[in-house]
Amino acid sequence: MLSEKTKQWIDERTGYKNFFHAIFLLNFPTKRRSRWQNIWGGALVLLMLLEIVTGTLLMTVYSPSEAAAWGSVHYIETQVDLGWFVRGLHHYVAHMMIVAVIIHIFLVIISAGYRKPKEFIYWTSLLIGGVIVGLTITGNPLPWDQKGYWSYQIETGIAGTMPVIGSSLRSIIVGGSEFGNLTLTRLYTIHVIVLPVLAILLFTIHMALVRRDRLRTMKIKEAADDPEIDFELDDDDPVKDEITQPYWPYQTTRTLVLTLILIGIVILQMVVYPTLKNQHVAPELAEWEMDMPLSEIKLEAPAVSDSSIPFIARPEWFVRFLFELRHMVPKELEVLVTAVLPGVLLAILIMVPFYEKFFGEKWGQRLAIAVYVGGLVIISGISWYSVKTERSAPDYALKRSQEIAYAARASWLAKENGVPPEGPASLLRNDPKSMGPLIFARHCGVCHTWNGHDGTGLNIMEMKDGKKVKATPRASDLAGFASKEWIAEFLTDPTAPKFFGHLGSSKGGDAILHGDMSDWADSYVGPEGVLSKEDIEAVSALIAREAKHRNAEPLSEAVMKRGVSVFSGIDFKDKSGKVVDFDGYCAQCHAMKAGDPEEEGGGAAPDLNGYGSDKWLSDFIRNPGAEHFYSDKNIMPAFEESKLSQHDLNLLVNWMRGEWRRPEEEK
Amino acid sequence: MRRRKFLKYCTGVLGAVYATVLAVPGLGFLLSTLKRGQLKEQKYQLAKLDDLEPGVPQRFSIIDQRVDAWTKYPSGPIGSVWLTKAQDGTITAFSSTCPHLGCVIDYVPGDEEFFCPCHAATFQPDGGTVSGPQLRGMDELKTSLKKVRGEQWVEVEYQKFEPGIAEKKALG
Repeated sequence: MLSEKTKQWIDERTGYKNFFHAIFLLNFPTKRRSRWQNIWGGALVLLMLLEIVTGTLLMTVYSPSEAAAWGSVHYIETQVDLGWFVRGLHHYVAHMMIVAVIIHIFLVIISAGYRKPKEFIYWTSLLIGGVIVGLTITGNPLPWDQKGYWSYQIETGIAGTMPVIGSSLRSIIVGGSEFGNLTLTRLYTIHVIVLPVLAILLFTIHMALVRRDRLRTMKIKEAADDPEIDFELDDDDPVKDEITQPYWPYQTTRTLVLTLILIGIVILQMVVYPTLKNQHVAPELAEWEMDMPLSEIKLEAPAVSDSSIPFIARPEWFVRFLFELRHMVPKELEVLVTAVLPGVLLAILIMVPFYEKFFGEKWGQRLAIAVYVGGLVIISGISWYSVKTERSAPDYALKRSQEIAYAARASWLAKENGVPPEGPASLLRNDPKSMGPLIFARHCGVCHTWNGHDGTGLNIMEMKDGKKVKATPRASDLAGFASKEWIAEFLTDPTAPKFFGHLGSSKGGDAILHGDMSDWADSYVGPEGVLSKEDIEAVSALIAREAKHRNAEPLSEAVMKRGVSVFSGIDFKDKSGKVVDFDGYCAQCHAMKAGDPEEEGGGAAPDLNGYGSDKWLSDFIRNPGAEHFYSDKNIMPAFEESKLSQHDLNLLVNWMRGEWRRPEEEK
Repeated sequence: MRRRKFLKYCTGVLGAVYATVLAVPGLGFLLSTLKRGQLKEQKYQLAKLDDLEPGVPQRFSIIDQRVDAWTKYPSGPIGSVWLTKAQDGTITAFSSTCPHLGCVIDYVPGDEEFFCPCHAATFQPDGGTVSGPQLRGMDELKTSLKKVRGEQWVEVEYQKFEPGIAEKKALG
């Protein structure tokens, strides 16, 4: 430490000793019985300091632009040493501060800290509380993830519904009518400069007022204690209860104890909560393979502004009640709830010092406590109800799982590939695993199913007798299309519901349902049929080879030979192993070089060359009625470029074929 | 007075805990950029041996993907290299980054000298210093020949070095 002489030298030139003395060492009066009560304000200051330090650290990496924001936060979480800790601390301490503000104001009310002459101390603390809420609201969307993006959409939407100034206010905050780079730079400016400066200004005023009040009380007490001054305090004067003590070390110890307890809770939450928060997730419901364990997912998926990646916007917990109330009131009153109600709540709190004017000190304070506690209970009740209704909705687990699956996918892709310069949303937009199910649901799900659902895990619904019921599919189920198992199952029973079974309901579908393929299965497959189970499997394997699936195993010579004999009818052996004439061979109708050495067949039914491959599927989807596919028997609509872009078609085909990058490929 | 001392002690300890909670992650956070930097050296095929004119240095761009923190850019120029084929066919390669302060070095054909325009550092064709503020000669890179479809290609191991010091030390 500095020597006495140096201290003296500095003090003569700065007067720092007086300064510190005035702040920490002056004998301030404190309430004898409530020393533990008055520490929440101090704890809030220490938590704010922590926010400033962690926030400054985050600023050294964070980049506020649409293309970079999510990537930079992902970088903080995954690449920067202890980045997850710094960001977690910044995030959760912010929420802890809102809790601390709520408690602090409650303690102020029960100790009548708003009473004359402390009204302005009370009002400045309310305003500081408001700024803290503002900081949380503007900080939340900064990562530009789905959660932040969509909740900020709602919040700015609410600002836009305010009477008169609403729409101008919204476009000033958003930086135009649409979200974009300006939205982020403005958010950032508000979050790191405007609100913190405002908070510091308010805090300075607040502390000046507190100091003034304490000095005043001290003087009164000194006068009362001084026998030479003719001044006595009334017996019921609260100042009588107070003792004088310097802030340091008496209050600092208590303040630090509380602060560290609060930080401890936050750290506990950071470590334990990530695994708890995904407890509603059930990836198996929708057959999503998560690309990383739930506990490793630190960030929601990047914001996809055209909402092609589904996400349900949910508000932050402290504005949840407003969100819920909106559903409870008629549409015309929505503005009242969203724009007017918060103002009314603030007014009720601001008016607290005046309650006593009308009801007397005792009843005025009781009313203030009742309003504050009652308000909190009602708000918590509404919020709890809102969360409960949402969680118990039938699709909640499924939809939340889907959102988490996208978060996992995006994080994994970003880790493996880096974020492309055009932004993180393209990680998902160009990914077959992410987009395939959505494209399937939109275009194919009208008729086809995927393992019984629409590809994303949701059931396809239709209205029947005024009720929403699970729709009957109109065409085959395409999960596992062109795989060995799928083909074998189809050949065994083409008229099963999974395949042609439902076609009869469509115009012209009957010709396929009761067409040549069904007749063929009736004649040759089954116990009486000439084809054995092995024959079906062999020919299925032979046809499945055309798709060149990623996991396909090479065929053995024997299976190949047997498959070719079924396909072409050459050297066909019946169940007893005798070479017989087989007139049900595939090449009669289907063309496929690999199965038909003489290449004589084909024409009447879909060409099986490259069946299930990229090219075959793309060509088929573009024009299923082509000569070499279903020709004039076709009942499937053609998906031309105008209906399905080449980009989407590629994603769909790759997804159907299971062609996307997977974590295990790395090993 | 004893109580006051105890409380002072408590404040000190608790304050230190508070400061540690901030300082440890803070330092970790800031210092983690120290690890960032040069990727592993990599070989690039730059030119066919027969296409190089003997005795005349030629500049070739190194084309590769670049990862900048979270962004991965598609392939583009990440640096350049001066290649010289001597009359006897041996190849020398120099990084075009000036060892003084990292500007890009030019070649002046008339003077047969390498020249950095920023602070007038001049180098001999063999990379040695002629004049200027630089503390070391041009940074030579390892080269090798590789046969690709029947033709000899020049391969260079591209690397970046710390500028401004006499020692040739790889970045990162």
